[in-house]
Amino acid sequence: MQQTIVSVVLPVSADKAAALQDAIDALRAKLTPNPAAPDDFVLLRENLPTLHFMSLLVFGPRAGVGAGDADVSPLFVMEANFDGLPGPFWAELEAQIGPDLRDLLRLCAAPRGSVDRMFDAITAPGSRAPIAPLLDRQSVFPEASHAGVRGLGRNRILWHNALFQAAEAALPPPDEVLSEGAAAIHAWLRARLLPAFPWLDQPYERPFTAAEQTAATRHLVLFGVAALVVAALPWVGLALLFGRPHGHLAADLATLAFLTGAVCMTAMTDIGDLPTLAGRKSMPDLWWQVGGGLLLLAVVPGFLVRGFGAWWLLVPAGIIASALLLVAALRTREKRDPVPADSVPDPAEVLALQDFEDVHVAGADHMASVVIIKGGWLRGFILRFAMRALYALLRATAADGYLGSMRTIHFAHWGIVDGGKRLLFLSNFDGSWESYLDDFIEKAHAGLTLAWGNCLGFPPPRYCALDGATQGRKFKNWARCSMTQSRFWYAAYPNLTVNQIWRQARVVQGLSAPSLSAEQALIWAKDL
Amino acid sequence: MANDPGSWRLKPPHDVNAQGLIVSPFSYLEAAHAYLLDTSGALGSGWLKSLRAVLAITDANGKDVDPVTGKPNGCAALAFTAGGLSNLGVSTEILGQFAQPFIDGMHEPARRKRLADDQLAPPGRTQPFWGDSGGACEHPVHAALLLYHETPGQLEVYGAPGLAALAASGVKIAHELRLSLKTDMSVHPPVVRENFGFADGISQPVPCGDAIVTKKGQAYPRNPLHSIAAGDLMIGHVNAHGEPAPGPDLLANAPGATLLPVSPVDATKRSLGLDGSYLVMRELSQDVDAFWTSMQSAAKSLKGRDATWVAERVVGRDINGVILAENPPPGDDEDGPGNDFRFWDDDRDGLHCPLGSHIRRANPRDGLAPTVGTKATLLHAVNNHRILRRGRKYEAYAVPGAGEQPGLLFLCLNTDLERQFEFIQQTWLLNPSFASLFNERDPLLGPAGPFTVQAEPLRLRPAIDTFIRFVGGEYFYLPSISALAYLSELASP
Repeated sequence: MQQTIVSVVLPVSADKAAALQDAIDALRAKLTPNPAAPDDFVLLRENLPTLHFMSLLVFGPRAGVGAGDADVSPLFVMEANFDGLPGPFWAELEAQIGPDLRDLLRLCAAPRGSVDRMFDAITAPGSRAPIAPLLDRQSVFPEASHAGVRGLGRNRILWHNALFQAAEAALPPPDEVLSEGAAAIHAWLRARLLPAFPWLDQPYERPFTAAEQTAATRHLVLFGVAALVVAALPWVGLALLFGRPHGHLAADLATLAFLTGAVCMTAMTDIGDLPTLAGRKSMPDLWWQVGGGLLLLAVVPGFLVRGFGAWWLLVPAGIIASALLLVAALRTREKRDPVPADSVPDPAEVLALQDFEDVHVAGADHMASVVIIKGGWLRGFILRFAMRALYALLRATAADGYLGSMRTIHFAHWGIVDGGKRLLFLSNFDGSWESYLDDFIEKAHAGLTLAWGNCLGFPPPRYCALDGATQGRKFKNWARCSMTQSRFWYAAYPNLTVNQIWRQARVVQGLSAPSLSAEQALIWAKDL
Repeated sequence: MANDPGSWRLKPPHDVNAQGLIVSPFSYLEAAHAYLLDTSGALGSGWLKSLRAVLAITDANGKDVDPVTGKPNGCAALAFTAGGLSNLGVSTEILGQFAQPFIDGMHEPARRKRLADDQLAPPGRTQPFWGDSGGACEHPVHAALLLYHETPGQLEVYGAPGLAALAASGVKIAHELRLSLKTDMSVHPPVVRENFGFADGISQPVPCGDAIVTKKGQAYPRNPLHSIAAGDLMIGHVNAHGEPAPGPDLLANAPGATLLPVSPVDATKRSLGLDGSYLVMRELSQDVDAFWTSMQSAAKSLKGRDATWVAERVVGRDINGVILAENPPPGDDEDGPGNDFRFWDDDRDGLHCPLGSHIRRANPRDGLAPTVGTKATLLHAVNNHRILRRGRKYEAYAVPGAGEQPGLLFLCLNTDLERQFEFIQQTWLLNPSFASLFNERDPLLGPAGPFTVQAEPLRLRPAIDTFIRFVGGEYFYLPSISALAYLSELASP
């Protein structure tokens, strides 16, 4: 099943940001009419059955860590994570809160300067022009994203939960069934639940089909191949242009490429200034080995090309040389970068952020952040490349909600906004903000550093993915400084964690089968 | 070794700078008393100076013994709340360098929400019995003085001059608790039991770092199961995030700064934080009758089990502290029950030690790993969230509105309150979705609710009542000995 992760982003003039926030607050109040359940967006919950999470956010004029005097305008962001495609969803959303959204848009600035016909037509007084086309046009699709409940529709999650709770209530005291064995419990429970849940008789539909898996794998492979081809192309091209395919130029180029790469690489390693941290291996030895190995390697391709006349050896040689040059170029910039001053969040602002955190005892929380991407083509390229690679990898490998060893994210994404100047991060995750960031620091720091390391103020990375986010306290402070309050944040199933969503799906999957073997039933019963 | 607090010690000069409580729970001293002080009537540092003139705060340089009799001396620890430091005359600028949770205090609304303290309050009490926040708590508390000695009689004699000095300086005792160990010598090895009867304080992390050495002065070996960064215990040492645990520093030419050691992060400054720690103090009342009644009624719902069986699942260890496992690791005379076990290989599904049992929630070890390949990563990650416990049980007294009950004065040391103490409370103990569980919280500490006991073919799920309540508490700063000297010399605010 297709799911969409998207943000609609519009600029806001600095003098309107506060008014826009007030309007969003008013809309929130209107949509949550029940004082006893202040987080129940009744209308969205009842009338938008495909919507998982939605937030309406304003990033103020200081949005983005390390902005300094940089010229950043406030941003309006509407984040939506839903089942199906954007077209039908925008139409449904407009049908529900169209006039309110139009009022919000009126407080935004025209996205393309003063002349933007579509924007002007939609925001004109008394306008009835549909807003969906503007939402569509202003949509920022993620550079990288992760969906922990991938393939599970909003309603399906709620049905699964209803069945899970019914199963819990229906189960007899354990001692009455303990002697029967798990297969008997399965048969007994299925018979009891079928009348109320007739859909249990349908075969269980896998959230993530084989065809989708194949497509994702193909995407990853194509991405990988394309990256390798691009890396090899210059070297092979040079050889083909200037030399005979079997001649010495290819060999000389290969050697030269390797030597350059290896020398750069070795020169770039930080022998001596690598801190030996508690619990972490000291790196210099490793880098010396890598550097030495590469130097040795440098001689080999030249010899091979010369010796065997195999010009195609330039392909692997070129790939490695390109990669080394890229890393060396990036490392040079990393070393040239001034060490950013530690980000120090204002305690009052942190408390203000916390007002909108830990709202739901059991389940989800929200994080919204905008940071400024460091200047230069290389940073922009690395950032995009890394995120696309991350995305391809996650799409092909993260089918069961896990991101590495963590399974706390419902929907999260990175998007490039503001004409490539800023990086937006939005996440709907389980647990507290602190535990979420600790998960990042402890279990996913390399991926994070790869993405955020190219942004201003981030704790200094080495070689794109090292250090950076492991500097936990600094990283947390930096992240805090980049955030805005999640004052309007809707969660369709706020008390269900990703873990629980998969657990109840497994229970349903088992119950959908007419019978289970003794072994299958024993595994299935663990989730009851 | 892991539970033998004497197996590691501090190298000079840290051993004479850190307070003794950091390296020892003083368990060789059976009698103890906690005095929670209200210093609002004694602004300035005068009271501290007169207290220290008659009562030395114990340092970490080994056991103090009387040179004549060879018998152990009494021990003392002293800690301050943020309000307490301010009352002493610490400037706002220096106070602002302390950790934000300490500055905000335990009763700040966002923290109360996170710690679920409103749900854990005794029925009939609308405000915490004590804490720093003026107005929010019944008894304002600004400092804590902990005294230890062999017998109650010796303790009284030992503490008398100090208490007299406090009284003379206008410091009021806002609240006090008589603490005890009551080591149970009837079992072998002897154990210290909490009020419900369970052996307590068994698993402790062991700090690792440049300042930590074995008893014999050698480098302390790393242990993947129990080692934590020394900086997660003491300010100024390298912490789990690879930097010196942050604390307040002073300009070298600030008045009194020469009393302090050089800052580990900036050689031009003097450190008020080095070798100090944050002390979390929580008074948790224990309704012993309600506990065993709840265990009994839960047992009744499960045929063939008794109250002790349920209680052991709730805790995760048997009554003498042995982990519930197919093959519990061996204990020994010196260290007590065995503590070298992991969950992933030995009890992944919680069929012995339930997934939601107290000890599994408080320290999941490698049990949260989703795959075999992530065991080491997850164990390492868990050890970034450890605390060193120093609590003792207290004798019953009447809390207004909440009845008369004994309880536990929970004490723990850490340097990052959010990443360590608060994380354990929120993300593990009271998280309704801990591990693969749904809608249940720590059966021992948490509010009433279901408790899943994994079993084949079907889990048991008895209902467990509430019997531990949060009476009062606060975040304290446990200064180093040199910091105490500096604080004693502060000019009046």
